[in-house]
Amino acid sequence: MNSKEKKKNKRKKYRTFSIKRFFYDFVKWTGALPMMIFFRMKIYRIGKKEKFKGALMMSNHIGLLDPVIIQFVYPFRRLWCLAMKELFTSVPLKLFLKGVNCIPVDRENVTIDMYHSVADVLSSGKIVAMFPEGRINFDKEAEVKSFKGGAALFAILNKVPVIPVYIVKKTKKLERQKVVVGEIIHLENICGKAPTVADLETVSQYLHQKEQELEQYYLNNIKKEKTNGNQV
Amino acid sequence: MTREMIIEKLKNIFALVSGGSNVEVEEKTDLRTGLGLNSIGMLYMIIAIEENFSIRFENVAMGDFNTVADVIDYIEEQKQ
Repeated sequence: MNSKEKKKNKRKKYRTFSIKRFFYDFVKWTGALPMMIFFRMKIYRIGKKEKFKGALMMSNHIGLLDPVIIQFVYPFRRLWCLAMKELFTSVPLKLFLKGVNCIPVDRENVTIDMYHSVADVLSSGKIVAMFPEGRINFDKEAEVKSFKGGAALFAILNKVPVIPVYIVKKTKKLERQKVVVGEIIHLENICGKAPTVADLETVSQYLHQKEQELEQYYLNNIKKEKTNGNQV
Repeated sequence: MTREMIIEKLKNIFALVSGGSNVEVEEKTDLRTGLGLNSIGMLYMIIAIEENFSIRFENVAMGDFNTVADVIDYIEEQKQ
């Protein structure tokens, strides 16, 4: 590869504008304004910062707007999101969801094409977001429910780190939307090169535990500090 | 590749997926009840088969495979 080609590749790599992703970028940046006004997001980042290429973002699922909220955890990176297949039934919605980087998932009958789509995105150094709980948790307490095995499988087989994200349930309408982002988890240290299904279950439980730790961190540190501050 | 050769290779894959060394596999063995695979296990098995047999499964859902024979049929189809 000569120097001209190298320069061209470098430019391509760091290109922020893409015609192919224009619709996604347009929706994200026009949506950023109402997000700033109505949600006033506050992101708490825990632990050391790390650079990464492809990664799997896992989050708790407490509302319909969670896929929108997590778009702004890393505002300058494009995010792919797994969405249930039932949303892709009408043509306009299907086109919209595909345009905003949603990958359909059949929760009852998982397809291999879905795995290939996710693997392609991860291998190209992008972030895929998913909600391992499998469905929206409408409970008042909104405690993190048990995780399904998909997140562990995707992260291990594609050798990508996991970014744990905890979306705090708002108790008042005008409250700021708080999001806690945990330290990046590298799963290769946890299970070997050839994990079994049992190992995947263990990793899944480990990820669930990490998500619960974020919840506890929010309750014990951030929320407590806020209430103490208000009392003073 | 004959069906016997495929089944031999599949035995190793099932052993890897389920974590056991001696897995009893016959053509009529049910993947869910016989080998105890759930949907994630099935997905993992198919990915392992793709790597081992150098084939790519397309337009396939986990519900399409019930027995080991179904998997062998698909592999044979892809290999031709």
